[in-house]
Amino acid sequence: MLKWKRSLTVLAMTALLGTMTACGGGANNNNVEPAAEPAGSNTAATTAPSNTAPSNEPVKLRIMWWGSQPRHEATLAALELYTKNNPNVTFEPEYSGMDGYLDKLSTQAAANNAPDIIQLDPGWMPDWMGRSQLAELAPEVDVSKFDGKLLAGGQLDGKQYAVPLGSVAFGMVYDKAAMDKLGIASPANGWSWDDFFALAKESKSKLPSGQYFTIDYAGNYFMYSAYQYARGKGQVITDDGHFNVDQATFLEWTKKFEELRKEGLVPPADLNASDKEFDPQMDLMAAGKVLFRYSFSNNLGTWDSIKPGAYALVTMPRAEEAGGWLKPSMYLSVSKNSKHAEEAKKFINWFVNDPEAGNILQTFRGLPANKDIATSLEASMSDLDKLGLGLLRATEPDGQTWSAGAGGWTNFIDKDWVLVRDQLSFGKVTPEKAFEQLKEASQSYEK
Amino acid sequence: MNRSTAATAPSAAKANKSPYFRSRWNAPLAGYLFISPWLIGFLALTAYPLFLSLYYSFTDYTLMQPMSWIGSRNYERIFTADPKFIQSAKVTLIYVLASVPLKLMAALFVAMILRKAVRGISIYRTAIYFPSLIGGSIGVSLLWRNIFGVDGIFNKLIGVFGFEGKGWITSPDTALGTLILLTVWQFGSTMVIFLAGLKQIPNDLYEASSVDGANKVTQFFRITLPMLSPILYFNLIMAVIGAFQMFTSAFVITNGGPMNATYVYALYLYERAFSRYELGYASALAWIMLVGIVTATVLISYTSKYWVFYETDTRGGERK
Repeated sequence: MLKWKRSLTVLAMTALLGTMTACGGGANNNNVEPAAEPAGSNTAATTAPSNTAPSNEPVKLRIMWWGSQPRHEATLAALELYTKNNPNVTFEPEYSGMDGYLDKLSTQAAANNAPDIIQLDPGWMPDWMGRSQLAELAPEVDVSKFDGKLLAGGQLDGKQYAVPLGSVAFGMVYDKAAMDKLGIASPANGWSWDDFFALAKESKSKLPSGQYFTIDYAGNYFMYSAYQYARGKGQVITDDGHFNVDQATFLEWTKKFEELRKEGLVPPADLNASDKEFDPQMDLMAAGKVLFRYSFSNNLGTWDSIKPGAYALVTMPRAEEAGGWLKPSMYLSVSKNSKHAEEAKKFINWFVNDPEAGNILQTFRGLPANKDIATSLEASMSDLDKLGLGLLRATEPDGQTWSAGAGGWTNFIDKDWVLVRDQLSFGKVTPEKAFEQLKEASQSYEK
Repeated sequence: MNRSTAATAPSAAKANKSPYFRSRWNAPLAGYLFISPWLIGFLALTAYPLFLSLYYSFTDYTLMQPMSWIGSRNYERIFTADPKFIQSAKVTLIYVLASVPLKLMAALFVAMILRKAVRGISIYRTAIYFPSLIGGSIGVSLLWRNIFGVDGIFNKLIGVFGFEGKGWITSPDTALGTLILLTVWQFGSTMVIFLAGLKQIPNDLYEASSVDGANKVTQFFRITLPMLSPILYFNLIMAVIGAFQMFTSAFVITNGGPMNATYVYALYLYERAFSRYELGYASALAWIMLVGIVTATVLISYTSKYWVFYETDTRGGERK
């Protein structure tokens, strides 16, 4: 009796030791290879570097991307075709939604275990290139048919580290079907922020309870960026890494949303915080709770798959200047640590330049950045894609110049802004205090 | 005389060493060989990373950048200029203080019920233990998010009784509470240990006390609890250690939000290490957490002599 009770104490000490491992291990993943590393890449790792490439040695490439179901299906079909043409190359795809994608990828990269081929958001490019995590793509990947503006986001010191996959426009999507039913007029391209807020007020009497005009964007980084651009005050974070939120503009914006909040035109805070873009149940627009939200031109297909025929796109409202912009949708790159860099680059070259691949991939990653492929697709586009293209063409003439911005601020956007967003929406801080808080938080990111 | 001292000296020295001590150091090599797989694993996978992280905590190690020794500057920054450290430590402390007692009480309560021999008791035991098997998983976290979401089952349920629901997970005042509830619900393994302990308590004690006129409540406080105290002690330490390291549900269900209400320490550590790649700083955070856990454990151990009762122990507890 005594013995086994005493042994509990010993067990407790062992458990305590276990904790130490947990703490220590967490920060040291780069030294200890995770046990879960796929067997495929292990066996491959022992083969010699394939610099002297075009052998027929079997190669397994890990490729990772985010997206919605149509994009997954198209990409898998393209991979299958490539394996058919090059039987020695097989793939180990890892795909998911955007939720948690960067967390997963960053953790893998920290463990020197990033996939061979990685899809990256333009906003992350400065970080990834700056940390030398990507391999140079020249000369295997031919970018001669690409728009120079789109290529720039994947370049550092004159070297191309990533190819743009498409171009998209930043605008808004709205529930046209619901608005027609409620008798609210649809907006037209080129509308202004004044029109936007006027339409919100006008809709007040028409909206049934439980339905709102738009999401509470008071503390939303992307929407505020669009507003600050429209007011001609430039970027929120400058290219050389400085906090550039214009105080007066920020207060104007947050106070307008404060009004909407008081009038019940944006969802209450707990509902607002539950929003999950593209989730059939938790996306507030898909659930029929809001009429407007921001969207990229290539996302219409995803909304449409949730509620066919209900949604339409419109340009981001403007003020003195245009509110929206064109930007590269995403980039494709090769991990610096890839053991099969040559094969990976060969694949990317095919993925972005081959007409057959282009035909499979359609516009699920935006209008292809390869001009020849874009032209050939435009001829046979579906109505849905034409709507997306319409937003692209409407934004193009005077849209803002997109820039990848400075590196090292991703966490500021993902965490510090989100905190302020919640605080504003829950009414826990005043707009003035919110600005102070952002400014203070920015100091740990300033270069 | 000389001869006798010379003869007795070695044997006296030998006698000073306890047999326990001697056998430990003269253990045959074979013994160490037998445990070597564990030993190597321990040294390479536990001890080495552990001390390496201690070293990193004194550097500005950031992934993919050159590293340099900066002394205690990480620690200084954490304690003097890091509001997120204070916020996350606060949330974690609240979480530990709330979830541990609740979980132990729930586990003990259920163990008391399951102790009775009823038909089909093993089925009940399995059913109640089941959530613990799946408890730490992502799937359950997602399930929780749906149950307590704005349109979740929980709101529909209380709606039947005329209460108005809200976004339990997305409101700052209730978010941490829902996570605590999830932890409490996973009391299975704690409960099993309690159950084993309860079965060890001799029935004579209850019989004798009921002859003396003790009621159920008195029996619980005078017999069950003291007899169970070593097990309670063990479960308490395990629960505290587990609670300090809470990560999965805060990461999956709320991602630290809303308004940092569920921003637990491990989440902050993770963010520093894997989204900002500041491994040196994260290592310092990890060591502070370790010291925190050790302190809590030592405190509990220290107080244990006042409340943990060993049946055969006449030093502590109720001296007779």
